Amino acid sequence: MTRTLDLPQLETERLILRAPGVADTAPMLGFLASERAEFYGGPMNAYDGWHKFSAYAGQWLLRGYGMFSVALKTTDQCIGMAGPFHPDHFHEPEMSWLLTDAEFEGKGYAAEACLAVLDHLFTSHGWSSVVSYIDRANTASRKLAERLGACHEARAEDVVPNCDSYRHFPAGGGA
Amino acid sequence: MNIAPHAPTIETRDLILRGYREGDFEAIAAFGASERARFVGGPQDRWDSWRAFMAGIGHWTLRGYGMWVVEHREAGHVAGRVGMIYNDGWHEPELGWHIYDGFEGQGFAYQACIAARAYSARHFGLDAVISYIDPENTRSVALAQRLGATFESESEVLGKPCHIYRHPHEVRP
Repeated sequence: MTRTLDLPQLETERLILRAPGVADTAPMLGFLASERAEFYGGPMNAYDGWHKFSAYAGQWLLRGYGMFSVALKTTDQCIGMAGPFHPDHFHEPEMSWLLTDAEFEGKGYAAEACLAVLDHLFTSHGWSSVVSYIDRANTASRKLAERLGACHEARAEDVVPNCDSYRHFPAGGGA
Repeated sequence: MNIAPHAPTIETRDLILRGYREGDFEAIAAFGASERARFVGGPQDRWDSWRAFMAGIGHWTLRGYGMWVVEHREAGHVAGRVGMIYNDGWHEPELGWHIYDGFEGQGFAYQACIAARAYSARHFGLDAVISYIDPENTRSVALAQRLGATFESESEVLGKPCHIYRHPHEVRP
């Protein structure tokens, strides 16, 4: 019998956060092929994009946590991803996020998704803090991290080139 | 529903085909870094091997089937990976095999492929599948033929010419 794992699903006012599914392939490969993927190892071809996206999906089974697909409640359309990314050479899981297309920016979707994920990590997983590595040229991500209440921590050259680390804490706790 | 499928366990005489574990990474990375990976997109660095490792698991999540980790029962070591690969852009799902250093020439690849192919036909409805093979990969061509697959056509994968072999039906059509 094929074994299965029940993965968490989160809900916010406008969004559903669920495990990555095959229906999210087209928007994600579109994102990874675009200039928007500059800070995600892109732009990349469809083969590399498929591997990167399926690797996001696969991390869930190995680690028990991972990047959620972020979908609009109204249409179930995938507009991005948010969650802890944890490859082999990271010392700890990294809170990451992306929106697949510029049309979804400026509406507060990324913040809404990230706040739900962070709350889930702090309450359900009991994490005391979580890091984000942000490229010093990625102004939009840095602003979002600050909006989420993350504190600038240090340079993180040893983990990701050109990145600084920001640290998120549970609301009302930590720094 | 938010259910992620992962590989079932299949046992053969010498091998265990199973799902992925964190401890499998070193074997996967060693294969990825070696010349043995030249026909499957390598050699590649550790970072790309990690991605391939996670993508191997994610394939099960996204497609409901994928490649198994092949463990040598007695040695307890990872001997390779075999199973169904249906990457975005593939014509159809293919039976693929990666055999790691030290496990070649002992019939393990054949044994693993027979088990994976039979299971996939019965449980995933993937029957009479193809394999993409680089014609220069003579050992893979020989294995395909031993598995009863026959040359079907010349094709292209990732912009590189390759041959499509077609496996026989496992289940009566």
